[in-house]
Amino acid sequence: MKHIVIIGGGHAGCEAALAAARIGRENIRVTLFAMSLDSIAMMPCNPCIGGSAKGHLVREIDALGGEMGRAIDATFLQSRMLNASKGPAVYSLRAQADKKRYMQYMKRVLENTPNLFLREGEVLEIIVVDGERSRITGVRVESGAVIACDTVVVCSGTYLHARCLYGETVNSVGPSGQRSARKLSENLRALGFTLQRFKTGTPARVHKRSIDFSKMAKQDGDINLVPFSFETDPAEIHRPQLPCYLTYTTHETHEIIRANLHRSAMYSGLIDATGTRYCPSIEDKIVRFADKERHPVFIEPEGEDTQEMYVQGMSSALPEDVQIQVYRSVPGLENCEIMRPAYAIEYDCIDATMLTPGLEAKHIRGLFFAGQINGSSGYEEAAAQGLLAGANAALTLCGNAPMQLTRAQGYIGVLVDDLVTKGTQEPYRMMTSRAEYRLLLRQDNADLRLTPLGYQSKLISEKRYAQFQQKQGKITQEIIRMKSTVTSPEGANPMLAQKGSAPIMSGIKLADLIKRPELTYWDVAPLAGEAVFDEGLTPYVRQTICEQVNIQLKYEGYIAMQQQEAEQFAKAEARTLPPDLDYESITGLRLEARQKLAKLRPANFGQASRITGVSPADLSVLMIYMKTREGDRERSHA
Amino acid sequence: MSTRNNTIAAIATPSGTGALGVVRLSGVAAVDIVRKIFVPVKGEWKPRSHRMVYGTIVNGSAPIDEVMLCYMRAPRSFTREDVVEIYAHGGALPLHGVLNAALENGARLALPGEFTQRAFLNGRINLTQAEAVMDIINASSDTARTAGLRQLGGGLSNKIQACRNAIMKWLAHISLSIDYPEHEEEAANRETILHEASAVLNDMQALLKTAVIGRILREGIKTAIVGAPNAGKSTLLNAILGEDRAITHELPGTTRDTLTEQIQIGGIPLVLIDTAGLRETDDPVEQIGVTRSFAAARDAQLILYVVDGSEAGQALEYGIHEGQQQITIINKCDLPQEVHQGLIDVGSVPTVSISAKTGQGMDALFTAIQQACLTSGTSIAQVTESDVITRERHRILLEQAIAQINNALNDLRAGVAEDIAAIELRGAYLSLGHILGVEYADDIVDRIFAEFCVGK
Repeated sequence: MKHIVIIGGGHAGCEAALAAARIGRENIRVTLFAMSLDSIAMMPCNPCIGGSAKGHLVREIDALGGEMGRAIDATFLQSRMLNASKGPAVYSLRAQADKKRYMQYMKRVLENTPNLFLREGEVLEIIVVDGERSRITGVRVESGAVIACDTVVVCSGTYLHARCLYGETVNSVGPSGQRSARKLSENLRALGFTLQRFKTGTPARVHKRSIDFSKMAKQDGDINLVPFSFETDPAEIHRPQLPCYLTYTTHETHEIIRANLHRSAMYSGLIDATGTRYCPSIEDKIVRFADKERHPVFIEPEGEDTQEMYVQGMSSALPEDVQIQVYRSVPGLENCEIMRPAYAIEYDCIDATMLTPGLEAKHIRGLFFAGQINGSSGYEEAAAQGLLAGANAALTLCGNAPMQLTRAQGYIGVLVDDLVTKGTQEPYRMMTSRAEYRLLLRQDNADLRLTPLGYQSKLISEKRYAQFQQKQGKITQEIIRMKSTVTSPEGANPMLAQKGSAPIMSGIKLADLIKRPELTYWDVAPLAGEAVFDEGLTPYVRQTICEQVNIQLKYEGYIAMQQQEAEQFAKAEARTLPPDLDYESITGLRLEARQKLAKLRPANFGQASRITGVSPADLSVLMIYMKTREGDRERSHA
Repeated sequence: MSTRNNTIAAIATPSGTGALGVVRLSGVAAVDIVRKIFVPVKGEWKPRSHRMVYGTIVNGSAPIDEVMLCYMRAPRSFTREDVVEIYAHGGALPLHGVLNAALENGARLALPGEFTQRAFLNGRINLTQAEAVMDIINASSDTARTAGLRQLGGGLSNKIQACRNAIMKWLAHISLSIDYPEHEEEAANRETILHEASAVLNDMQALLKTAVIGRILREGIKTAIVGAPNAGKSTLLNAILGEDRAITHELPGTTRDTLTEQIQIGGIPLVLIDTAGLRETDDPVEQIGVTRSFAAARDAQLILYVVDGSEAGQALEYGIHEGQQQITIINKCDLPQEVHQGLIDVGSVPTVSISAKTGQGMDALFTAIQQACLTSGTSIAQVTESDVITRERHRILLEQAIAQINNALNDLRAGVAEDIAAIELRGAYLSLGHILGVEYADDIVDRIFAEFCVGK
């Protein structure tokens, strides 16, 4: 029986283990090693899942049969659809998580998955034997035991050589006081990986009773819930939602920070790692946006059974005596009790350009990487990679082709392609602006895009796939009905008048009426008579079908535009480059391009075009080289 | 062996008589070939890169010309290959002699634009620069050459880049409001984009307008000389060209086909088309000529309508098509005049009296032609001051970008969500990027193969 070892029990590790076990079934054993089994699926930073672009990732994970969507649906404290005033491409789900319950949920799922085994312990070494291509024989754990295995997925998060910094104080520990992993970095270096040092941070947690909420703006969750998972029925969620609160930093806050900047680990020279621009510390914000008078601060619950509140927007590496002054200068936090101080954390990660688009190391067969070890930040980014890496670990062991997602298929495709093609110089956060085909990659159609792929890879059950097909068929059917039904002026004009829309003079297709900005499917559809729904479809599924019809018809023109672009893109992706191409010998290439191409060995022209330092002129040269090569081949065969 | 390894040679300076002319060789064998045909003034030739050497070009034992030459070692040359440039005396005889010597000793005559093609293939220049070089090679006028040179230097690129930067800024604002929805203060301002866009659109429209001029610079203004038989059309052509290009004869119907000639008048390139006289004829050969004349006149942008001033009772009207300009020329003013300017009712059409035979009135005609070439308030003379779109591909992309921005603005005005409008804005950004050659396009290779005929 084949054996896959997952190193790390965070969000990447959990999805990797589940995906591998679900694909492997009775043919593969999966063992997940965690530093502590009490920290499985821990959220050491913000107590929320989703948000802009990250929400898309969670839906895609779910569409591919991952667990994160179901886990947050089962444990959220508040749920909101962000960007609801904007276009459907950027609607983003975000939920406040009950951290403890989320962890319990995930651990329970892992424990109850057949052929999946949880083990506590630090992995010190991945044992590799050199051959024609290096391969893995096992891992050595801290007890001294050597566990034989065929494939390893490294999901070590921020634990490698982790250091936590509080002002002048540096502790060699991992997140939330966990042990840091001391040996694996050296092992990875010895295996030929380039390591970089990244930095991130987290704000303080304060006691709820010490906060004056009357000075803050209350933010409630949505009344009409949209769950993350396509399998969750919101009608079955009966949970009161907890509010969040909004307040702002003050002039005083900024003064205190400026006066104590030299004591922040970030500015005193203690940290030389690269931090993220995307969730900067409060010190960074004050320095970089000096002219901004205030920054928003959100107070979010960490769980139903705890009084700890998370202070979003106030991450810091200042010493605790300054932190308390800073926090207390914010309206509503004047008397706050800090329960856990803010800290910055430094850790090792690899240069992800050494990986294939399937997240496998190019030079060591069977060694996969997922999550923050690849330079990303965020639970959702980690989980997405974990799912892909875990699935591919199992698929390749079973002799199947690895699963790969392109930039036109999903945010996961964008995320992975960015990491393995461009690498990253700072913790990489998913953002909608990174996706070229945003209107195609909506959160509402993640299942339509990816569930067939998940089914192919055995990540989606027969039952779920049948339900999916039923929904898909109904959407198509209803779109055809809207496109083929013509309404008369007598039929439509009363409704149009009521909606303040221009009356029609002759018959018009319903689909064309839906395109009017002031009208929706729900206004227009009654003109065609009641839609017929299959028995057994829940009201929520019916609603999602209608939404799908509305969006697909309303934005048809724009969607077609992006589809055309995506087809162009696909052409370049289809032009493959041989993995053994001797770039050094292509004289027309600039030196930099030659080196980058030789190092990265892109799979196709599309990937080559996205390598930093390879210009369109280089690509033309490469393309002409390939054409001449093909031409020479044809001639020599003739 | 691929064609790229061949050594090519060509005369690199324009034809015509100048004090000096250059023969250029490029390729791995350039030095070996030159070694066979070059005798330095003293000793043996030891090629050192970027050094001038004085000596004689010989073909066999026959001396051809006294020259200076310069060797540029790969990759520090225009083609990134070994290049030798030979500076000989101007004029056809010495230059062809030098070229022949090179060809007879192993070089191949370069195809049009082949040096540029090599420069491009070897990564020396990018596509936009290559296109600009092609423009310079194909330029039909000095003004076009200036525009080509400017494009090569990046004048046009800078303008396009500025528009692109503006679009990127809007896209960034829109993205910011999407990716950080909780930071309402950062929200993109629809009004700001609508406001700023008009200035950017104006710049782009102005650039697009130059495409008309660019086309003229590239192709020349098609100018048809039309008129009744024996009105003196061919004599006029010769008078404008200053040489006996067309056969003139007093017999009507001498010109039975159309002749085309290129000429510059005040920096404006004209393609002069001499036509057969427009008359009814039974001669089938002449009839073909007349038919072609009508066709040429229909395509022309400028009509020079020639009337014989010495003969009364001619048709004085010529029906021009929309978009055409006309100058009426009353020829043969050296003879007693039967037709007078004031008698011809031609509305606003400029009319000049000349004698193509004696040259009288030709300056006035040239001025009238220059005047007529003013297009929509933009004088071609201004072209040297500003940057011009000379490529058809660029014009199409620019038009596309303008349309995309307009679509986006219409969306924004209609209340469509900003992230949806951003799709069109992104399209405009990409279109402009394709002009600059900084965006990767999968069809680029086909375009290159079409333009450069690689491998043929």
